[in-house]
Amino acid sequence: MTTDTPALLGQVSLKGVSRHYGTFVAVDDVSMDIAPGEFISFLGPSGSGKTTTLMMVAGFEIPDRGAITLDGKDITRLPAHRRELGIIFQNYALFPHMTVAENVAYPLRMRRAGRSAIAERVARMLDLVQLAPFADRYPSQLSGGQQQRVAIARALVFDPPVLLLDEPLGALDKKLRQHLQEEIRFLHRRMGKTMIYVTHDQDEALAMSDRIAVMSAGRVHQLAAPEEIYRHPTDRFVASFMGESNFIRVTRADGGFRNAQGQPVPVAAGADTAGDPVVFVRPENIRIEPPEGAGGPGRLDGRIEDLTYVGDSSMLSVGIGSERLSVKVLNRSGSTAWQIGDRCRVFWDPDDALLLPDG
Amino acid sequence: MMSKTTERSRFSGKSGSEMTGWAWLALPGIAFVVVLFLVPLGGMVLVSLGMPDWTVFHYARLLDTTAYLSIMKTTLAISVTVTALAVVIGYPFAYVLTTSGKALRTFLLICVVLPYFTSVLVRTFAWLVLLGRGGVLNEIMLGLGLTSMPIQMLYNRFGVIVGMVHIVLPMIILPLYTVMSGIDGRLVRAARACGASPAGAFVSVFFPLSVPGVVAGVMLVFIYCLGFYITPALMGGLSDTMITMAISSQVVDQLNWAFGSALSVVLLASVVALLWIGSRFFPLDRLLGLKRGLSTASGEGHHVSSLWLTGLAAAVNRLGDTGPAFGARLLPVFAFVVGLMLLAPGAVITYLSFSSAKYLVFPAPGFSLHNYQAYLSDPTWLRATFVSLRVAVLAGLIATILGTLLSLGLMRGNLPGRNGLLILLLTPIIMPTVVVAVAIYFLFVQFGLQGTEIGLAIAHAVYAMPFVVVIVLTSLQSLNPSLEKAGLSLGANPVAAFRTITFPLIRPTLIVAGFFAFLNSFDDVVYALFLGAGKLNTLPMRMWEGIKQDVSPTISAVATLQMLLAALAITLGSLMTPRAK
Repeated sequence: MTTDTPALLGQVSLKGVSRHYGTFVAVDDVSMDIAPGEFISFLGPSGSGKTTTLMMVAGFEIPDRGAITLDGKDITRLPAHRRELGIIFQNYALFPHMTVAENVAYPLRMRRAGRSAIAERVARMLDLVQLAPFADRYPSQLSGGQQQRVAIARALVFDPPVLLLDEPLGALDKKLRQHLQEEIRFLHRRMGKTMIYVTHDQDEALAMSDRIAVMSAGRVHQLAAPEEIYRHPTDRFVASFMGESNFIRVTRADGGFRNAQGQPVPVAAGADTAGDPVVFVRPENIRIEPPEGAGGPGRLDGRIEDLTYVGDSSMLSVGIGSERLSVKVLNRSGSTAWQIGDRCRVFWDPDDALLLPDG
Repeated sequence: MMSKTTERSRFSGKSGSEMTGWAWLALPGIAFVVVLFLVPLGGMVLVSLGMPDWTVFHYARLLDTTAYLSIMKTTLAISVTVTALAVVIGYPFAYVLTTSGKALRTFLLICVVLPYFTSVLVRTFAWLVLLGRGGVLNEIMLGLGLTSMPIQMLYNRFGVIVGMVHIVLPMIILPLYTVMSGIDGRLVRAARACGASPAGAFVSVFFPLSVPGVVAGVMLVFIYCLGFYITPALMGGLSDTMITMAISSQVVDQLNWAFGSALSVVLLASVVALLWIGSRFFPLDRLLGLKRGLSTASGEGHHVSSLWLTGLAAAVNRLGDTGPAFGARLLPVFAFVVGLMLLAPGAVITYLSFSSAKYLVFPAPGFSLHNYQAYLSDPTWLRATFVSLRVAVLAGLIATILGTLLSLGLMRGNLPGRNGLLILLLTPIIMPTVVVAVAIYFLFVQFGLQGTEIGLAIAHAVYAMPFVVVIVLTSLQSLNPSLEKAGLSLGANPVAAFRTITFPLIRPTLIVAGFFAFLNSFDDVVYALFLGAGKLNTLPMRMWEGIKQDVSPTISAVATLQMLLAALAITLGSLMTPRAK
């Protein structure tokens, strides 16, 4: 990992930050420490408060309560233009009346840099994003990917320690998204800047982040590394928002857990919750075999009720009593060809199941 | 091969360059504009050249006579002043309108739209009542002891300019508002994130992007001022004679048609030149009210050179935040006050119309309906009302029918050169009404149509039809083309598909367009003044005479009723037009 700047600057802290609009609570008591050079994603559905939180870091919203610090300095009430944060907006917000070079020069001109210094740094920045031949074009003459690179160049040209990205890939098609995700990650590795990335796309957050803050209704539900979030969600919201999931209602009975039919449901000793919890298990962790199969601990018998073919895999809906479980099977040559109506048996490793509070 | 062409023409529009059957629908409207707009204007040029004894004598006289040179100077001076004031007041107002919260925005929008749809005559009448020697403003100032003697505010330059600025403000605010609300708010935020202060972001990003709106507004207002007749004629003094008044006096009083025509041609040429210059900065079809032109190609607009503005912004950035921020906080207050002033004349007239006094005195000593009773019991007022109603209904019908057919023909006919055609068809909107009225008058005299209701209605339709085209075209453009295709695929023939699908969808728009055409005719003074030939007494003509003679209080009741009609039109319009996305 090579970095241009020593990765010391760019430490952002939020302490009990809240923002209300009338009676609506947009952001509710959010606290976190973001390390210098870290790539952190704010992930959540629309209205979860992720963009409002970002805008408070950016200085376009002022928190009602709480404080935001940058490298130990309180910036809660500092006007946006004095924060020295690079921001990449949704749809990029390139100035349509300025050329690519003028767009990139803008932050330097606002800081009254010298003419030659501006020319030199703009050229270097355009080289970095490989847009030097397009310096004199207007943004409307560029492709979506080129526009994003101009936005990146403009946000980084004044060397801010932190880069904020507000759903920059929101409106693009899948192929281009993946390509630009790679570019952003490459940039992150190369520049070593702290990046705060807002998205509503789980896959994007999983693929890009060092850590993810999953948000809903203005609160941070879980803040952890992608694998931890995916494998060990702390509540039902996080579990269901990150990918496909099964929740089985269970009741406590003689030291274990049983489903509505009274069959034992295997789960490694999970969170000790009050009341009746649910058992959470991912579709790809459920194994399925014909009804006469040997199975594993705590197998359940059921019937294929629906089948969706998605190419590399199929999603089976298995009815067990009144409940349905989603089971993901890989479509390898030679694997069982399941049909709707087939009887089957499912089981999973108790370590892959997790006990979560119901709610 | 055969099936390919039918396929194309049936699904009308973009593909192929050959005309479709729809093109025929445009014919009556085009003929209407040619016969009643282009031919008369051409005829006027010929008259000014002394046809059939060709001469440039009248133009030479124009240049020789100091009186006419000074009239042109006055016209220019007043127009420049009014336009400049309108920009200075209108720009910050439109800015607040764009950026403020919902409550203030709604209020400000009402302040703009209500006067915009109130007739110029009614608003001018209101200013006469406000600014007169014994008028509302003088009474208030005397009452407050701000002055010991009534101040002369009417029949001088001050009065003309106040009245004209009030009338043109909505015309500049609306295009400014349209352009400003199209500016992505994130651009300003992006500028701030790049280190620009609020004032710096405004100077380097928001302002340059709003310049097309400024150009459009200035063009509209300046051209309107050059051809302005009613307000300067009623509020100005002797030294405030504008070119339109000279035209009127030559044609109506002196019966010197040739010289009147020469003056009209000068005005006409100036307007055409301005439009030509303006078209280089702003597409003319958009200037004339269309949101989208007919051509699909979206031309790269001219960008204002932003380099020195960015430099200025960098300098502004250094000023710190206190000064500009203080100004920004004052802006909504400023806009609110301007909004009140936009509403004030109408409000005062409404208030005085219920006064129990025999004259228009302020404050009203008591309240009664006697002004309304006077209006309803005076046969001359009632007769004038019925004349106006008949003319306006007829004009509305002609304009709506021809305008709708024309829009369909333009939209689907694949006419060659339709962009230019559209601009030509829309120009009656912006041509000075005095010039067009004079030209049509010359034409009508030859057929004995002057002084007839049908003649006046036809002339009003010439003016109103472009508005109908703007409204109907906009509605047709926003219509999803697959709807009619779906109808065709379900077995409807093209006529049935239009009748059962497209027509019901645009019917509300047609009603709105027809009502606006009606209102245009119902409020008109200028055409009636020339084409009425002293024989046709419409309601606005009756008011005009009333105002010139004795500022009768009955007018306040009529004016209030007209404002009610305007409010009705706005309500109708906002209810019937589907919510823009």
